[in-house]
Amino acid sequence: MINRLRTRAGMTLGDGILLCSIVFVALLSFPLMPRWMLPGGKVLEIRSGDKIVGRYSLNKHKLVKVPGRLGTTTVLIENGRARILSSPCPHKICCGMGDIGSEGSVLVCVPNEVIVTTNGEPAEDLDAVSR
Amino acid sequence: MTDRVVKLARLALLLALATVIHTAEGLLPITFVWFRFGFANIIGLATLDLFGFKDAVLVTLGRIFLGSMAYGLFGSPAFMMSFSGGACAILAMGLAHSFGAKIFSEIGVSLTGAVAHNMAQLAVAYFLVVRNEGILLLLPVLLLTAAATGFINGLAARFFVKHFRSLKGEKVGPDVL
Repeated sequence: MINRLRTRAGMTLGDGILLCSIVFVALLSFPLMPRWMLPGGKVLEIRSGDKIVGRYSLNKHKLVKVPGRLGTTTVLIENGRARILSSPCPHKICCGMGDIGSEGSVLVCVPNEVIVTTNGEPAEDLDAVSR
Repeated sequence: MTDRVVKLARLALLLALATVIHTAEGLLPITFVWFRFGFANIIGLATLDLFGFKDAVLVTLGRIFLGSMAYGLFGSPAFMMSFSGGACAILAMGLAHSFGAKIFSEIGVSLTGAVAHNMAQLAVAYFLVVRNEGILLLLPVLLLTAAATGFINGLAARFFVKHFRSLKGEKVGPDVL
């Protein structure tokens, strides 16, 4: 089919290779670009309702049980990424959100009021000085 | 003498056509068409094919200059992005046209230009306007649109060149498609 399209559009072999490689690189860079560009988070912050349950390092393997409004949500931290393993909520949307790792990502379970965010290291130096 | 005048008139027509397409494309609602088709580049590519690299540079940069004058955007970041994109596109197309004449047809040259245009715009947007790595996340989307618009424009440029040559009374090959 590609061959027929090529001859009908009058494309040379070089055109076809160029077009295919552009599309290939584009499709490849969809998943790769965010991983290269966004810095990985350092700290995982878990909130339940309006309380902070805890801050955990993303580098240490850990299973956190978070008490929420409906029950216990379990959060798995593994290889610098975190995901929600199980949750008492009816639709399990939070379990289907996949895993997060780059700075500023968030996992939310709305019914259970659990919010998991990744943060960078807290800034210690000054933003700017004016005098 | 007549030859030079005829050539000048033809180039002037091409430049006028390119400017009109460039300006008209800027009127498309950005809410729905958030990328540029780059139809004006059809004329740039056709000029490259018909008259050579120097005149193609003239037509491309000329239409960007005139188009920005029409909008009153001359010197703005939008103009900078347009200018750098156009300059890189025509440079890349010139290279692809002269060195890859055996390998690429108009479509391949147009694809090269579209990719160069979008990459240059992204670089300028990053260095001049946004200054945030997040904008590089647009790269895959820009590459995909470059592939699509480059293909369409290349095809259009081929028809344009063929028609132009047949109007001039030159012999052209059979139509494809």
